[in-house]
Amino acid sequence: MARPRIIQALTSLRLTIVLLSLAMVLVFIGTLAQKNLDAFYAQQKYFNTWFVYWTPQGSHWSIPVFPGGFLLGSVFLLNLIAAHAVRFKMTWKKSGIILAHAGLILLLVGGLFTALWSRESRMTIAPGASKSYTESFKEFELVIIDKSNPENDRVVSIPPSLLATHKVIQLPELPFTVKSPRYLENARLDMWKPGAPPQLADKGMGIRLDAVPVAPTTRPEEENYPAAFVTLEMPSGPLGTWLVWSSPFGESVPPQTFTVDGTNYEIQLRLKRFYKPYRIHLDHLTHEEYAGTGIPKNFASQIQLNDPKRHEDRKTLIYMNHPLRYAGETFYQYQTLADDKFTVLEVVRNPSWMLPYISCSLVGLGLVVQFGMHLFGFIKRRAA
Amino acid sequence: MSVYTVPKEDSQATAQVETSKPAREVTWTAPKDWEEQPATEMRQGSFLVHGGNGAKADVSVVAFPGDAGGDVANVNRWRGQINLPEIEDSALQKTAQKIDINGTPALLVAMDEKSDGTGRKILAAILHRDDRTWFFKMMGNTPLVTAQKDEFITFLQSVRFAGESTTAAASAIPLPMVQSSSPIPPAISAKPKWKVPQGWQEQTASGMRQGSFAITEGPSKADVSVVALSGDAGGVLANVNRWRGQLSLPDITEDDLTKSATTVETTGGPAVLVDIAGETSAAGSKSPARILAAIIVRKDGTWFIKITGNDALVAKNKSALLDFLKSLEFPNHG
Repeated sequence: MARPRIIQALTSLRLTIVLLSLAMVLVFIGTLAQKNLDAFYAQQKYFNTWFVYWTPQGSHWSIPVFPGGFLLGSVFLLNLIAAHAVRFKMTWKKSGIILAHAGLILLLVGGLFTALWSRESRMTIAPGASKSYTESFKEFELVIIDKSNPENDRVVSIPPSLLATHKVIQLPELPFTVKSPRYLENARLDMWKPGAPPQLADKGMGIRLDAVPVAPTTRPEEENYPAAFVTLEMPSGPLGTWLVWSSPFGESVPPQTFTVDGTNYEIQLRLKRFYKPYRIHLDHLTHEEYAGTGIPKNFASQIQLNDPKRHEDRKTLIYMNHPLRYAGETFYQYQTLADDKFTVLEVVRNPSWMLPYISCSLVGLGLVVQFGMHLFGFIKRRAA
Repeated sequence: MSVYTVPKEDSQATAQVETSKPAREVTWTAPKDWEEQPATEMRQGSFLVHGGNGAKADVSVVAFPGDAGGDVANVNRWRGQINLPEIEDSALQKTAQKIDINGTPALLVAMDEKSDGTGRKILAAILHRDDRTWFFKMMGNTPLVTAQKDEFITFLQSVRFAGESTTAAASAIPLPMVQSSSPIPPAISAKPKWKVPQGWQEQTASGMRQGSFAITEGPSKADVSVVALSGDAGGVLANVNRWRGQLSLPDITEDDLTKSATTVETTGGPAVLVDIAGETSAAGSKSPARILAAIIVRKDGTWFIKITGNDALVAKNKSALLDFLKSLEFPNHG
């Protein structure tokens, strides 16, 4: 009985060839694009997307012009699974091919998990200081912090994408609403000048400052410095409007405080933080270069890891090619800053980090098994 | 969105990334046991003080243009940092100590998070100079900050300013290291035209100043500044009292201001004219000084035209100031 056309298409080797060709083109374009596009944005535009979009100049349309990484990977995965399910026979003779293909399937699944769940952040620490959080390289958050508890701070984190909608944000944890009448993806701070558009901020440091819009950038050597005017309003009336601004280098307009019904709050736009149940203290930072060159010889951070819940309190050394793996995250020695006054650890969370190793092992094993069977079969026939 | 609870952050546990070294327009001699930290775009100076049993205190030197929102606003911001309620300006004036930092009057404030000596303490000085406000602040473990008070005062007394603020150093606000291409230019300033009175030598206006003049008569000098700030810039009374503080005079009330000030009509609207005679301290000696200032509150901001300097010279230039005010031509009247 002939299979339905959709099944024929999904199991087709022709489809596999087309997908592989499209993937090669996508990787080529995505790689070339990184000449002018930061790797983070290239990843979003070409690979972590269903389609690659094109926006005609002067318009706001996003027209899909090429399949993106998600689409190619998903169809490829369906193609592999369908081919196995429908056409391949599970026999010992085909075991090598089945193993290799299983490895490929696992590789694609691992890639999807990585795209969905992996996270890279950084931890910047000065010698003698400690940190219990990492910061995103690119993502920001507006935080409103309830400082009333002497032991803890309660943090309400609002993503800038919500501020950009200019909608009223209401949360049960806050007695006031939050709304941003103006959000700038990239802005320069300047002193407010008479004659400039009326000042939106009437509280805090924003009274004296202005956020001058700057064209958002995706270039690899440039960064965006977001700013927002944030209005807080009680049922009884507005509390005021604050100007917040931040940079990817960790500097921002400092937390601005205000009081509502006897409770002290802070408001700040900052790099998004990921808090940990443990703390890392930097005991000592080493930065050595090969004599007479600027080539790094040794970057090393001597740290103390303190995790009361897991009863961990130990010293360890993080240096090039010797990261610390702890609690599902890997801490790499990334760089030092400001004449070695800070260490920067790159912290990678990737729950599916083992999958590429397993999948490559499966593919390798499958190829060895399949080749081995052919080889021994050939030798046997020759001997006979 | 997310909501979560975290332990309180020690200010020393937060690393500040140095993005650029600001021009050092102020120098000091810090105590030897103060550990210097990298300066940042917000901080002109930063130190870490260590005490026994792991106690720590953080010292910062920060400058902002203008009055940075006003003394009481900043004091309340610090009070909020150690969970204290806000106070009124009158309460601040009663509790703050007026000190002298190398000839410039400053306000010294101290606040304790808890009355039993635990928690955190803030010791800070606020100084207004050349249309900028300087904040010298120590915050940390209460016993440690209390023990460091003498060192802090000695540190304050060692502060020396490098001279008039230049355009490059005038702004202590964080400015991005890297700019994107094609920045949108700022709006054109609505600077008024004016006629410069005889005897006023025009200087290069920098920082917050829209105009700057010098008056010299023998050894006597006076400075004229034209400054524009957004909104009501803290209010007429707050600014008048700030100037009074600079001349070692006590604050006045709104009623006192109404009685003592006069009004002059200008094309930009009515100007409140105040005449403040007091004294300044320099090198341990006091000399009579005067501030003659006009404040014009407009829809687009508040304009300050101020003569500061030798008492007699400033008084002599009152009619010149009135002529200057009458010569102002704002682009959009009213």
